[in-house]
Amino acid sequence: MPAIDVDEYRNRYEQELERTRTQSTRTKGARSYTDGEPGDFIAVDDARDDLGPRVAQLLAVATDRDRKIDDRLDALQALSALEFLGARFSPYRAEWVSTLRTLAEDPRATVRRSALEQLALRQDPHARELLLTGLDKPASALVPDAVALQFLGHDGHGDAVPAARKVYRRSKGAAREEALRILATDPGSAAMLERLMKDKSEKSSVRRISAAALQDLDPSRFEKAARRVVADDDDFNEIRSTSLTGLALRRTAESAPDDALVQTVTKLHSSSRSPAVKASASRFLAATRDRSET
Amino acid sequence: MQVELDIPSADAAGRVFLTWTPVQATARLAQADDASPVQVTLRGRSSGGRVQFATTRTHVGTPELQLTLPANGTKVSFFVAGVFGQPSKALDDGAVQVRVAGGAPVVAEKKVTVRIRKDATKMTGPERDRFLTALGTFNNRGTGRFRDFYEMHVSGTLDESHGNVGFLSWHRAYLLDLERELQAIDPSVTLPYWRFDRAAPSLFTPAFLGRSDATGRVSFTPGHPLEGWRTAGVPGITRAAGFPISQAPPGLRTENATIALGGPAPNAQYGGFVAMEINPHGFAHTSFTGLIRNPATSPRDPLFFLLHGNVDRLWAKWQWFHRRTDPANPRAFAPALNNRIGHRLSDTMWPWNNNTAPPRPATAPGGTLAPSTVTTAPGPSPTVRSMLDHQAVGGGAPLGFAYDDVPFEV
Repeated sequence: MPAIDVDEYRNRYEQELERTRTQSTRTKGARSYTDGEPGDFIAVDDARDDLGPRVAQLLAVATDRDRKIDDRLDALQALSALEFLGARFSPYRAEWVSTLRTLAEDPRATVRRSALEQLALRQDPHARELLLTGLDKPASALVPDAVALQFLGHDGHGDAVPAARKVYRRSKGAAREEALRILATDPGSAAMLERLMKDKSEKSSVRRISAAALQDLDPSRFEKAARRVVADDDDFNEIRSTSLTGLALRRTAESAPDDALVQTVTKLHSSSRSPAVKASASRFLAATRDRSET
Repeated sequence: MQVELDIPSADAAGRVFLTWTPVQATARLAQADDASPVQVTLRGRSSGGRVQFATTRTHVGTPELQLTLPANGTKVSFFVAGVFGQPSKALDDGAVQVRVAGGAPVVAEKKVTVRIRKDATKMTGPERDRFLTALGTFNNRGTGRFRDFYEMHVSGTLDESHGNVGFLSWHRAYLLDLERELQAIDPSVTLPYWRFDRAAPSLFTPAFLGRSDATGRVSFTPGHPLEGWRTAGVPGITRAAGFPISQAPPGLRTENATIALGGPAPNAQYGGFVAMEINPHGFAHTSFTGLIRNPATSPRDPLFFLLHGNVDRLWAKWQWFHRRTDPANPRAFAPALNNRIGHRLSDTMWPWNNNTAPPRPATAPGGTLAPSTVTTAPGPSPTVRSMLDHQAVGGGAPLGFAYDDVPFEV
């Protein structure tokens, strides 16, 4: 990039803004569900501004089952954006949450999913109940198992562990993987996670999720398994990379690697043809160097 | 003959970091060959970041500068800054060299990094990886100090940072605090920004901020530093774009439309500009599903910091274009809604002020603002006012960051 003359840069930018201004004095709002742009009426310097009419209008659009689905989703997006106003949105929050609870059982799947996620992000007990019921009785599920577990996972307190165990046993694919993520909070699952991490017949994604989960649940168990994976030239590059980065980012004094591990990784760094393994090995060796310098 | 260069924006290891803001430096003869003054030439050497020189504090520098150094060792002052448009790509990839006028040998040299926040889509692979590694290390799988950062931005704290005129000041301090923490891990790192009014497909890849599957689960390349990301006891990141990632999110104000908020020059007012909190800021958040869409969970997704990097860049660009960095200018800021504490120019900002008296939140995670190795501003407990002139256009100490497309201009 060449050096830029600042005065010239200002002139050019001024001309560009002027061109934009004359072409169009306003941008289009989030598609066309209302007359104006949702942000246009928010003038924070004017204390008289009242969000009430706009919030009421958006809530009406979001709950109107006769409206086009895009309009309803746009209204939900706009309401979520208004929530970023903190105290200015507070007077409408109770109604907003109540509306989301209604929309959680909407006939339209995309509306249900959006509402349930927004409730799950605030750890809403009503949404948790709906999601757990759906996992228990799949016929009444409001969202697919994988999505339900993902939403339940926003609450890190482990309430969903029994449901996750059940889904893990009965499912494949994304639902099984989401179940594993929830089991990362369950000390009783450490042995299973270690087995999955080391199992070469398992899917790469399952092994990597298990490695990450085990690292959280039982770091010393992870370290033992990771060292074995890293040293195994017959194992797959994906899990070796994941294991290496897991070891590299552990910066505690007690996890300082011994010479044997450093030698293994140094050898791996020079011999591996996998860019991911090389990058992870570099990261590990750099972290080791940093630790020895501090 | 020995020449000593003193460029004050250096860390404890003597590495010099520059932005676009000129830094007053000195050169002196530490050991003279005879009693005559010596003419020397300052010049930049670079494989990346380039520097320029001046004898006054100006944005118009030159690639070379002649100085006459007295034999008695008296310091001679000059200004040095990064050349706008030519930031570093790696640590110490630039240098200031001193040669005796007309002579070839370099008699003094200081390595320099022109450390600038960049558009995330224009970072080199190594720049991207260093940023991600520093962030992954700082979070340390949910056990590191990154926790303080997302706890600063949860339910019950948002009145400090949102819905009022201090929105931009608060988030500027927030980003600066995090950037300094990352620089303590790797001094070459700066926070990149996501230009949300442009397509950024390279950002939403497994090698960078991750790719989302149909459930909204974000996955990374094996061994990626954020692969084991964990926050608030919850593993991973959920996020799905509600738009094709080959395009920009729909409905967001463009940069030019955002800069036009607050009115045209010369009467542009901050009170109008800060309406950007809804659009583009709020709409950029809610263009996705997942953690980023909710104010109380959004900082748990690293995308938050790139999104807010762009929000802050837009403010910096508006300030530069309309010359609104002087807090004494009534158009550079606006009265706080309801006179809310924490949003007035002279107020200190929570949590860095450790003030937990109502109406402030009951706890103040994270302590004071991280210090910088290269500047004294804004101090441990920043005020709203201290965030306005980040490049120190009006003098004093800069905050120590700059954007690749926002110049320093006096």
